[in-house]
Amino acid sequence: MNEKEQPISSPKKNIAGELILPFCALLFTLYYFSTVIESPWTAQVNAFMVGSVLIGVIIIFFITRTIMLLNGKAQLHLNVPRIHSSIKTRQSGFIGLTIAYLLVIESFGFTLTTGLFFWGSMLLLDYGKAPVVKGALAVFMALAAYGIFILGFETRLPKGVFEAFLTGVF
Amino acid sequence: MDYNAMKRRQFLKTSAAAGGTLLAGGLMSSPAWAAYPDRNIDVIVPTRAGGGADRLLRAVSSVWKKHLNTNFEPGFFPGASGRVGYEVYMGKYQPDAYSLIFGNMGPEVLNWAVKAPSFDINDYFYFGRVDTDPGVVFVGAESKFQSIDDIIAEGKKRKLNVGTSRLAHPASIGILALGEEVGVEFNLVPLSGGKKTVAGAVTLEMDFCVLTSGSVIAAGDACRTLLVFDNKNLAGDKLSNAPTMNDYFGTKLPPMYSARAFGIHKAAADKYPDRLELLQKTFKDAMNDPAYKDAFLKSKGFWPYSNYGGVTECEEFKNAMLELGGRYRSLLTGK
Amino acid sequence: MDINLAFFVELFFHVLGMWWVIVPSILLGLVVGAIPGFSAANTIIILLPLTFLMDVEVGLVFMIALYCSSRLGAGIPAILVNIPGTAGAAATPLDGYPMAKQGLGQRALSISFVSSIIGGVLTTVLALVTMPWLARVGFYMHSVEMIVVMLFGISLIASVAAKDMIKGLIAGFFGLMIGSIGADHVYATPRGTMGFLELYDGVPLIPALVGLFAISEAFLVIEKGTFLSKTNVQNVDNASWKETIIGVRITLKRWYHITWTSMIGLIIGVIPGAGAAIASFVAYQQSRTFSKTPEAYGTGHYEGLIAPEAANNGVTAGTLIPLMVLGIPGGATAAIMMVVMQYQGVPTGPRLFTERPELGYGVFMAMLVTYLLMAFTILPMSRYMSRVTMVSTTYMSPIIIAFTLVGSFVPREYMFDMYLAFAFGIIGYIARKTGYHVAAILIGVILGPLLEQYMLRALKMSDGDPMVLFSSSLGNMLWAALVITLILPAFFKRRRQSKAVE
Repeated sequence: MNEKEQPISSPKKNIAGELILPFCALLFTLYYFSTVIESPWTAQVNAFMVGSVLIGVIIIFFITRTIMLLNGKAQLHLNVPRIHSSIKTRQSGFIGLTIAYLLVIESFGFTLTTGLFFWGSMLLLDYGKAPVVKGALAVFMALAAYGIFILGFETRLPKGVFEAFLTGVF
Repeated sequence: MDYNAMKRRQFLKTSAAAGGTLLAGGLMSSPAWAAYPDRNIDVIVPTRAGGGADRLLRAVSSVWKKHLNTNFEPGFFPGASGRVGYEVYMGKYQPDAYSLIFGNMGPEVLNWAVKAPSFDINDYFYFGRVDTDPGVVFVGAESKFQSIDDIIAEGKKRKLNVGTSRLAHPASIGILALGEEVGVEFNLVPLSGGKKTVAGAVTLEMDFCVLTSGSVIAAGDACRTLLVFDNKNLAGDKLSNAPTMNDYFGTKLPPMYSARAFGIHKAAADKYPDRLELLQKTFKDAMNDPAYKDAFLKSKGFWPYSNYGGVTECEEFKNAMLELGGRYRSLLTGK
Repeated sequence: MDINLAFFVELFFHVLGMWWVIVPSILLGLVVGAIPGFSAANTIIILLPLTFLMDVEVGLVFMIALYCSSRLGAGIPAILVNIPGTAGAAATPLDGYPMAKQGLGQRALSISFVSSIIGGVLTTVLALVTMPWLARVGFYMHSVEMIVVMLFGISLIASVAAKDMIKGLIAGFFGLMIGSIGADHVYATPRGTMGFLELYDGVPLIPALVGLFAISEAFLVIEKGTFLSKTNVQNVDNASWKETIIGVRITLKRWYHITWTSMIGLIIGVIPGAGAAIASFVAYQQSRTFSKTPEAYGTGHYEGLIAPEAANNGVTAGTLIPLMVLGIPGGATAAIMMVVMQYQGVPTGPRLFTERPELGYGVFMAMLVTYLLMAFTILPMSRYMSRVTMVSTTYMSPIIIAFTLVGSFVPREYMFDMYLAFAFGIIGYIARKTGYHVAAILIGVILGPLLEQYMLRALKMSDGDPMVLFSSSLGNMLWAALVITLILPAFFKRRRQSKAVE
């Protein structure tokens, strides 16, 4: 997968992307340590065992990458993965829709939000083709999800206007 | 903004489903003049659906609803030894007497002694106790220990490992008190839950275990009870006719109960004293209703443990737990 | 009542006569197993009032059929769309999903079903015969021994990360660190919870599972437009019943592999509190260790799919043994079965076999019949199920996202768990884009908390003395076995290389 990120014109490996996870892991481990520093040994033993190995491995990783940089075998620059721009837009849009779904589901309720999410994301991913058909499909799928999860399994998914309306009807 | 308020706000932002509940609660708050109750009452249960509290709640509410003329809607919010349920109840539900908490006054109040919740523990109180189930000392069927004397004798030779569902539990307090009384030091090992505690005793990994008696009775022949932390062994041969600690050792320890009870926001009681009064009266009527005994037995409850208590009894119990939790705080927190 | 062959034959046909309960339960089990977050345990809880009303025999048969089939059901989305619905199916996509991506979804499902069914039948028969002795396993496998068993599973991190060891170790240990979030098992001190009460009991598994595997996958496949390449679409399109039969043949040929990996499942299942996730990872790790082609694991290798599927079905029979023989439930479903049995006044433990032998043995017979009936009901479905992989990502990605977010919500019904699944999805996405193995993170998240739990228990029992880890004979034997299995792959590799040179 890393190969994909390498600019074709350059033989050097761009290591910016692969530093993200170790960096996050390092930050999290240090934060974790701060939460157990004054705790009894039972809270600390696992953290220090696992955390110290993790930090050790991350340090080795950083050293190897630094050596690669110094030897000119790698480069470090923030480069958005080389993928087609339309895909990039669709992908970011889809992630954005997912975030929007999570943000409004509590207010709008499960069924309505899920229907809108299906419709919006299918349109986005298919370049806006056949909005009516996709709308009908989204309504069908959202109602099926309502039937299975809320009516069938009685899960306590967020309820909104639509669920209140159906409860009133039945 | 103080730390607790901040944590509460953060929790509210992210936690526990049913955003609609809040909306509905706000929109549907009954005007003061409306006859109470004019809609269902939410009951927050801080443990999992399908467990003992669920079954007991079904039994109580099946009878209570007739006396109060409304239905009860349980909502299960397990996690963090009951903390999640209480945080949800205190933070998310309106103090209007349309929501109650159905908790366990033993382990859950001990939690507060170990680590205070984000709300003031005096902002709610229990008004209706349903049952009391004592802690017991027990061993697996294949254990070499036949009596509590065997355990004490062995405990004087070496430090015995005692399995418990968790440290902040009345049964754990009971064994610590016994250790103090007989001059033996026990090593409490939390096994994260009743089932694992029974397994710890049965598979002989632990020297012996302590737990609420209901779980031990449920394990049947797999376990043998050696001591009961109550004033009387109400379960008799179901608990191997084991003696009680106070009888056997002449102590005056309060019973180490798990005690399920209904609680309510203090603000609701202050604002709507008539509603609280109605809740208390109808709850007591329900508990005295012969139909309740049938429902209780049908849920496979052990009838002698059914034990009505009002605000006073609940308050006494809560304070006793807080006092015991404070006394053994260092052992329960490791600090 | 005499317990002889005639008794078992009569019992078999008696249970078979309850096909009208078993077949619908199988179908329900498949559905709930396939939906992430649902499981046999929470379905039985939902249907508890109904179960209480059933005759005890019917109720038990219903629960058993649901339990077994949900285990199979969980493998379906794990293979086809990389969504392991339960922790027990977490090792299934490691080789199942690469097969589906190659257009071999039907074959992979067939392999999964047949190895599950054979694993299930074998272990059920073995459980019936050796129940009293198998129940003793729990008396020997205590915390110290379980630590070593966990390490067998965790050592898989090194295997899956073989191509880039440092990055693999970072992923694995990051997973272990994430798995350490939550209150400590002794004094309940919250650690690394970022102030969220929802994390006090640790990181919930389903959001981690579906986030790391499925949500990150849903974001990734948009780049491709479909799960399959054009050639692979052709493969699926041309697939006939033959593909299912090929799958059956491949699996039957590997009967020995199924046998020993399902045994691993059975033995781990017998230990109270262990479970299918540990069993499937340990089985996968063992399968890889003794394989002649370890490098093929993770690329759609048949044995890599057979091992976890046979093992997690072996667990099914195993978890019932402590309940039946000792009266202590071995897992969540067994615990609910115990509640139902008590409600109906049926004893558990030794008394069950003296007072109600037809029920005690009947439970295992129901399991046997369920597995046999599943061979006829589920296997033919593989052809149609595999077509899911041909659906365009325009439709599949939104479905996967909504489906998995709901699945994350279901076990605890907290909105927080949906947010958490998304966060894991982002971590998984970054990990995949930058060459880190999400399976390594997941192994850490799943097995880390269990390892810590057993380790703390052992250390607490010994007042903090680390030598307790080497205090038991069985434990020391397991340590030796662990060292051997860690060294063996290198030894085998060297031998193969030297043979190749010759």
